[in-house]
Amino acid sequence: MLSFSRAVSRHLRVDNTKTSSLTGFSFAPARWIQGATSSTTDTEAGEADTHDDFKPRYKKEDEIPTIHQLIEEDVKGNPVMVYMKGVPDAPMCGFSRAVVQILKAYEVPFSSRNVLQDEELRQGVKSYSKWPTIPQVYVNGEFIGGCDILVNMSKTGELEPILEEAKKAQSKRVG
Amino acid sequence: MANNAVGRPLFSLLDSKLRAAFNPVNLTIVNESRMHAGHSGNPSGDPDAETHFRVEMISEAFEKKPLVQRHRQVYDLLKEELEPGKIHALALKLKTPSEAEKEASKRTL
Repeated sequence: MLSFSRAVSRHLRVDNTKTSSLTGFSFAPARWIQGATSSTTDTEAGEADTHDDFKPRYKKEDEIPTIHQLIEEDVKGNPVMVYMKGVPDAPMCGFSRAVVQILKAYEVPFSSRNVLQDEELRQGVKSYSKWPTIPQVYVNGEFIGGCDILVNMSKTGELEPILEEAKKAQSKRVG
Repeated sequence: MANNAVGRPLFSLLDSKLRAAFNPVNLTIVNESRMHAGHSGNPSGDPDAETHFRVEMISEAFEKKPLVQRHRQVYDLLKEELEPGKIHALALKLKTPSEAEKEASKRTL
């Protein structure tokens, strides 16, 4: 049951300031969507596979991926990944809103998850990064910081080159 | 100041802990809880709530340390206070004396 509730409650949102149609992912069938990449991780049991290598890695309830494994997939699979309160179009917290505004200002597409929908994710994100607050921003798999750090890096000019790298990674994936 | 310890236990605790750990050149703590009355961190809207804080601190302890590390230093120090149900939000502006000087000179130009 745990795997089922996880599957229905977690949406990965992909926000692309240039092609807003990508936000349609939020209406896709609810499951652990890897939005910015073409790969999906299938955790469902009972699929017929011919070789051990192709069998689902997690078959039983107690073998479903841990929250940290799922977060790792997120941050490695999405050049810019944001854990926030609410969704980009309706942030539920001023700090999350500020992060979204900054990323939109740089016109960098990003993926996000709403920690308010999922208490396990909310706690998991904090323990994964050993960072006690939300929002959290990851670029190319690396933890960048929360709202204050993003605001500061934006002011000092440090943020732009980092996000440019992420844009490059994104265009490679698409191309 | 005498009232601080009585009516604002968390404020006072933050102040003393931060001063002891970082020996800051400048420390400003602002309780912004009132601005968040009714919001999830301060649902009752209690005007004396201590849920949302902003800390601006200038300290030599941050010299040559990236921002993430500076924030972690503060988070580690305030681990207990940041547990769920206590401080809900903590905005941090952590600078070294030289960074603060640079910023000040930019402003006057």
